[in-house]
Amino acid sequence: MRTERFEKLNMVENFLFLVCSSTAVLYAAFFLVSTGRIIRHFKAREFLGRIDRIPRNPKVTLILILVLIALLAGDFTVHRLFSDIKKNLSLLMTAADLFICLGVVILLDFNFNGILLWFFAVVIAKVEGKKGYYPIIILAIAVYTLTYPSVATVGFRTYTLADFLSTYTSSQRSYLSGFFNLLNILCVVGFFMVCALMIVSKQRRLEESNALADQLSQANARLKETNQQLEELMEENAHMAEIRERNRIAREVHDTIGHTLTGLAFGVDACKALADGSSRELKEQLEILSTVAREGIKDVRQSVSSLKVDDVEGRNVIFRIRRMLENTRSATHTEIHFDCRIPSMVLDEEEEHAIYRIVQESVTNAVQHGRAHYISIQFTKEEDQIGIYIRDNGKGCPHPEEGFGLRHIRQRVAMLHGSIRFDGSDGFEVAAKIPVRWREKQDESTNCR
Amino acid sequence: MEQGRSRHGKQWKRRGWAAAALLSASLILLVMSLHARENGKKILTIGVFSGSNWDVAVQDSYAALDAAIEQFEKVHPDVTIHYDSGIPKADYSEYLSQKILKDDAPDLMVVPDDDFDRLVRLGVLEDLDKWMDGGNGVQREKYFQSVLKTGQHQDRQYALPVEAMPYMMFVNKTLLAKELVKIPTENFTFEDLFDICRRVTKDTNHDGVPDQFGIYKYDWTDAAVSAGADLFGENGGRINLTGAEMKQAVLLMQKLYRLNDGQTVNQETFDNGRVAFMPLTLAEYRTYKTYPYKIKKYSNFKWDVIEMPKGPNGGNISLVHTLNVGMSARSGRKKLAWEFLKYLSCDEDFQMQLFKEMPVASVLKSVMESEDADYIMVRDNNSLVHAETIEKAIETGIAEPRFEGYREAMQLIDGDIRQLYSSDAEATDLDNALRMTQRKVRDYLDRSDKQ
Repeated sequence: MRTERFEKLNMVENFLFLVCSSTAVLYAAFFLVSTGRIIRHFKAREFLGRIDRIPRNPKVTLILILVLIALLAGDFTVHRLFSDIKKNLSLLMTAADLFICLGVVILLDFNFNGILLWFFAVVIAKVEGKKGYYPIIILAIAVYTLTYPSVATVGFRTYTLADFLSTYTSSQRSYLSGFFNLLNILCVVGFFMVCALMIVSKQRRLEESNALADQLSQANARLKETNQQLEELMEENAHMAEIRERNRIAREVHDTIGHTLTGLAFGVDACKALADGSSRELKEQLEILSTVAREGIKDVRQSVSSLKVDDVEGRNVIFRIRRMLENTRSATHTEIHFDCRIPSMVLDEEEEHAIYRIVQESVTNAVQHGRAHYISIQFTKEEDQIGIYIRDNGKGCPHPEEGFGLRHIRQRVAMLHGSIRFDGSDGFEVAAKIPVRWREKQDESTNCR
Repeated sequence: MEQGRSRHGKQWKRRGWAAAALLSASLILLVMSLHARENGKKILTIGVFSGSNWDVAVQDSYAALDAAIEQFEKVHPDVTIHYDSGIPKADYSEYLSQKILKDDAPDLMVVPDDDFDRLVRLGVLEDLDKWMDGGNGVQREKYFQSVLKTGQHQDRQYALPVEAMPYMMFVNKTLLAKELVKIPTENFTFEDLFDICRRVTKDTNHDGVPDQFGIYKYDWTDAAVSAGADLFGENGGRINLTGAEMKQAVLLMQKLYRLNDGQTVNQETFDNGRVAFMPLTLAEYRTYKTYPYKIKKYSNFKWDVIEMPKGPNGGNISLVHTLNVGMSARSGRKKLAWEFLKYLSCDEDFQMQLFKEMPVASVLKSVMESEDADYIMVRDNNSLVHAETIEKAIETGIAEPRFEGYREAMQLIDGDIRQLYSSDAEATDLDNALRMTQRKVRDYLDRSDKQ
């Protein structure tokens, strides 16, 4: 994009150079041809009476101008080819260019100064930074004005294009003067084209940088959001780890001490039966032991129950889902239909958590991104898998870009050897299958109530 | 990529050097070509025309120049002087203009009177003041001042005179003797002139119109000069046609015109010996007083020359014309050119030779004052005129003003004045008419901004 614009600028600069230099050459050539014509027509004396200064040797002038133009072209090409030229050398070459251009103007006795337009167009296009512009522009205006035909020659006498033109017939004169005017206009037009391209290029660069800044701030916002989610998850993970540890300890306590104590209580009871005929003291003592054992069991159960936190809020995952859905309903006025068709079962924490996360992420997405008004959630039992289908009537997303949330879900499901797919073609649909062991137990079961 | 570029760079650098070498070589060639030499000799060019500047027949118009060149080349063996021969005087101005336009102006050039101001204005002519005042300069006092002045423009010397040309009054001695009129040799005045003219103007064949006249070719400008009228001041800065001198000149012309009773005097009448006076250049005098032209012209009557008649406030003076040579400001051999110009203009030997061989006057006082000059005049011309008379004419002569627009201004005045003296205007009308002409000419000069 940028290089394309540079190419356009370079092209216009080349065009301007071509026009300006060929005009200078044409002026010199015209002076040469006209001089020959004047001499052939024996009008030299008449011509001398018209002009105020003898033109330089027209042949030498033409040759010198060709040489100067060649020098300029060389300089121009070197600048173009080696953009990494040393700054001092570049400055020196530019100054040399200015003097060469002035040389051309002087050789043509101030009849044509368009070559300076090219010079200043190139310099202005090359200047960087705001500060450099003003001196260059002032210099350009001053030099161009002071060398302008009929301004430069105020106060001293010279000859003009018109003097040469007047030696032609009136029809030739009108064509020739039209031609030279056209060349002059082309030079000015080329200069303005360079300036216009410069302005457009500056404008575009500004717009581009604005767009980049916008993109950056958007990316920043996204990063912040993701960061927050990550922090929440980490907190959650830490919490889960704690829960898991407490559950393990509870199980250990339940399985070891609880078991021992139960055995002990049964043993004591057996002892009591055996000691039926024995002394009252022994019975009493056994009775006390039995009571202590049962008390111990009760205590262990209590400790275990207080240690076990998998239903932190006191209930199973279905309950938590219902409560989360209720909260969402009341906060967003979204209609949510929850259809739970699974028999009561026991799930481990990973499974429960995955299911909860799937529902939570899907509902959040539906409400936040899909702007859905209706969400349906269905849990089904499919052989040894639990199927979760969540569908909303939101905007959907034909090519869902997996953000942190969806990726997290996918990972969790993958860890459980399940499968999940997303479909955003019509609303948004999440379909997940998670293999579970269908363990049924009365007191720690997950069911739909 | 980086490597490729640097190789590329080296290649370019090499090309740059090649271009620079080529350029400097061509520049050296150019400079050398400007200093052309022929067989190792320095070439000096001079622009001249063939024939005489004074419209008289000469046998070999290049003889004097060739002699000068030969002499100069003898002194400067490394120099050869070229000129284009065979350019008629009428074509010389165009020839010179073309040379100038081609930047091929000769190092030295004869400057036609009509082109002098233009060439000065265009900067073609070198300002000679610094050469004249330099160590290798010339003494201005050696020249007749009026003559030197013809090469000046706004008090700067742009050309040096080589030949001087005073005007004199031709007098038909046979006619005056027949009419019993004494030849006025000294203190010849307007009144004398008119008196003689009145006496000789006659109808000899009694056909009712005069066929013998007093004067021919005498112009109001001649009368104005010897009346002492200064028409343009210094450099044409101020025009004055209303002075008494100018009026005296116009009145004389009017009176002379009326004598002829409407008859026009022509060359044939003059050649037939029926006119008493005619202004004449020294060139014409010297040419037609010597063999072979002596027998071709004015052979049926005796004649001689006298001074011009003077006005009440003026003198027996006339205009002095000169042949000037200038140096090109773009000459590559100015030092040499100056040497040759100096030789042509103020080498006494050359000037004496020129006076001897050409029907002209020298521009140097010492030449005209020499006995040799007097001997040449009296021997060759067998006449009343001594070199001294010519010297006096040049010495007191008036250089024509030199400013741009002079010719045009003179043409304007000439038209008006001719009409004036051929009309019946009285003296009072004359004042008014001259004033009107003066205003017209001043307007012209102001408008053209050329003085």
